[in-house]
Amino acid sequence: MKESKQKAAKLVKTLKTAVLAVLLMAGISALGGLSCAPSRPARQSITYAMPITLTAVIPYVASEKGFWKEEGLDVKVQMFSAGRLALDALLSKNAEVMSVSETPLVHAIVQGNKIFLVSTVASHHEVKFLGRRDKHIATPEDLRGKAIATLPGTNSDYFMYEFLKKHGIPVNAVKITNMSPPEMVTAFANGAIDGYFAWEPHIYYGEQQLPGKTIVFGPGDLYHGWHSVAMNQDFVKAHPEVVQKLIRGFIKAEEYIHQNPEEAMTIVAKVTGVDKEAIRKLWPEMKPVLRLDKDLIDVMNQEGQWSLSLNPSATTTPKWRDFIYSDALDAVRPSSVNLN
Amino acid sequence: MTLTERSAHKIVFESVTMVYGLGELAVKALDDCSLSVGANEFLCLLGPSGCGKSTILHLAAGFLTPSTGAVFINKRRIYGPGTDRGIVFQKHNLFPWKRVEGNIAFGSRMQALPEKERRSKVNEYLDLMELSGFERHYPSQLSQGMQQRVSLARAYANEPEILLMDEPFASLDAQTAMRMRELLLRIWSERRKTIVFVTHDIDEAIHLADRVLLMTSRPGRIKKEFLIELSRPRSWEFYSDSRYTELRSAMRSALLNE
Amino acid sequence: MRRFWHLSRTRSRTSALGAVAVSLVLLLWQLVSYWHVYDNHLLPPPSYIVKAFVQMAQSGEWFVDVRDSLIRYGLGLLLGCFTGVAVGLVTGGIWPVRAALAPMLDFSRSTPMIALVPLFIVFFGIGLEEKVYLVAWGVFFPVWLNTQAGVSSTEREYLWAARSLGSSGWQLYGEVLLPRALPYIIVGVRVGITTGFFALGAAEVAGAFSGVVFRSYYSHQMFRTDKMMVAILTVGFLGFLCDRLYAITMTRLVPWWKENLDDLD
Repeated sequence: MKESKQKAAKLVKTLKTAVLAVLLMAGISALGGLSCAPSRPARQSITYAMPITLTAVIPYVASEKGFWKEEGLDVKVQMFSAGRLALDALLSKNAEVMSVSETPLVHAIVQGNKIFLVSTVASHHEVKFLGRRDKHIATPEDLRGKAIATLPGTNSDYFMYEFLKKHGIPVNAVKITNMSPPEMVTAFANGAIDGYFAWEPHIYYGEQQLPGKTIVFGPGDLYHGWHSVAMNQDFVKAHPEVVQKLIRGFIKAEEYIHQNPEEAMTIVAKVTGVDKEAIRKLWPEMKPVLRLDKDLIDVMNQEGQWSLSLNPSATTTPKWRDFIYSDALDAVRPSSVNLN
Repeated sequence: MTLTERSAHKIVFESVTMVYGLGELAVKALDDCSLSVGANEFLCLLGPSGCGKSTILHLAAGFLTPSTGAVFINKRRIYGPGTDRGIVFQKHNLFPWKRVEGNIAFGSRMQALPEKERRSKVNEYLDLMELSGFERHYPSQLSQGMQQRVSLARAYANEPEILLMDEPFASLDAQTAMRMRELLLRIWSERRKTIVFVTHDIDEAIHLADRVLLMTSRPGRIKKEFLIELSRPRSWEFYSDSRYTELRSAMRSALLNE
Repeated sequence: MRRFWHLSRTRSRTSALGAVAVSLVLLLWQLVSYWHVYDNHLLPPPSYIVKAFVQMAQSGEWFVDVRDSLIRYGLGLLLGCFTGVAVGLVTGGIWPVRAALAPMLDFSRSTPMIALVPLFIVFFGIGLEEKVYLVAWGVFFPVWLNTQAGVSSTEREYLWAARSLGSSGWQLYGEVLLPRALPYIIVGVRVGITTGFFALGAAEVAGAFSGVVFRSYYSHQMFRTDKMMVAILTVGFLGFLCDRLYAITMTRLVPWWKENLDDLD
């Protein structure tokens, strides 16, 4: 009798858990539905998913200096360690806006996500290769047979493929391994890898580990990135005025940076935790300017081909122009839009 | 057996004191205890719980070392356990991971006896303890009475000169305990050994022993010695023997006065 | 309803209930995506995932991932179990060693595996060894702690009886402490099987270009959430499979500790 009671108790427990799980799922679905419901008060409040990167100078300054508040827009900033995760926050509607280099956006568009690029806020040359001279890397051809780290799907990963292609090195002639940039620095310093493709400040950190023993291959004409502001299409269509307010705040930040580069560097140092000397050294590689340029479409197109070649899927190449929303920037500062 | 026949003594305790713990927490379990057990004698240690009777057994087995004094087996001072002394506990006796045969053969395996000898030994003691047919069982599959028979078989199979038994039948029901006592006495009468048997049960002590040492507690001391000169084999009728009743009330009052 | 509660628990009923629950969740999931509660790109429905799986199986990618992960995991599991039992026997049996090692081991066991990756890269590079050691690290602690508990809780009567019957030194380990600790070790290894998969997750974050957990990260980076889900479900499936296989093997191998083994089912 006691035994059967115990069994019954066990069953009840299992069922309770099951019911709880179903309720939980239902609850989550309901919440998901709620967050879709467009009900905005007069004063706009949005969430900005921001990655930690030196190229996000304009967004950092706009937020720190309160330029959006002046435009009547409350922007709650949510920091993310990686752009890819910030993008997930946008796509899952937990944020209304985010910014990142164009590469993750290209993957997202190729895979059918409905987003808009509303502006770029910086163009940069911060994606590079760092190699060890003592592992006999002196020219690009020396990468053959070497152990090289990359973070798949990022712009530095794209640069790696382009770089290898340009120098006639087949991808499988290199020992490629995945890693996040901080681990690349460690593995590079202890000799587990001979070199890596990454962005700043991780190239700078690697050089600091082995002073005088490293070699950098910069992107040259092969690649330059665009730090781009992305939003969901349905949100942009429903709230074009919010996009304009955002852009106005960005433009104020752009001017501020131009006038007070020292202060801007201090802000970047504060937000990213990178020391100011490093920022000063890397500053010239970034151009914090609001633009929507035809070149962006070219870069996206090339990266799109690459993305499809890595991950063949049924989708055809998207029409990139359809994923760029230029109305807002055009309304605020038409001179910055050159898409044709 | 009297104390004068030292040469025939199997076990001798000389002024043994046993203290557990250190400093303020120290507990004196046994205070200046001297005793001796003769060859092939059946000695019962009787007393309330905590009187140090198990301590005496564990000292004789060599599991414990006296704080002061010394323990001698066959006139040689001991410093640890030995195969000359077999042991049966009240619980946690048998290795639950070994079958009945594995438990009984444990001692001969430790002595690295050849397989054939081990087999025959196992069979011999299975028969003796009325356990045939259960050699492939695990202890958990046996009744408690059977488990204690296997324990006895395991100890006996190692052919020790001395058998130390620590309340082996205390957790059995009265009937089973009685049958176990009779079995023990029967086997002991066939294969004589020196037995030290710890119990808190007066009837059990009188039934089994040649001599009973009655103990007091805290610190443990031997209070009184009773010689049980009742004839063997002792069977059911002996409970109505007047000498039995006398002994019983004498022990009882000795225990109560304590 | 009362009758339902009183169904006696049998193996087939247990599995049947499990299967029903899984099918219900899958159905619900498919419905959720049918109603577009979530974007199908963020949470692909089961049908997309099946399609992605077929694709990955046809290209052979899935098999390479599973093979590479299982090599890392299997070697790490073996190493972790072996060292866990060995250290547990020593620390469980010899208290001064336990006292000396306890703070160090307790300190390191709560460190998240992912935080250890850079350290392991420093010590062992990024090859197979580093991943095997990481998995072993994850497996080691539950096995060690359980083995130690099993050994140190050994009833003194067993040891005394064995010594009276003529065993000493190492024999006590082989004849008493190890078999006595076995039920604990069995449970410890079972926990280790799970923690080993956590560790595999950390191991494939860096320095891999194949493996089921790598595939999950990689597909996430590339916005192939369907492939990411295949990878996640594969890890879950492998974990489930290892656990089942282990439970079945142990019920066969160690019949004497019935009570404990019932929990393994």
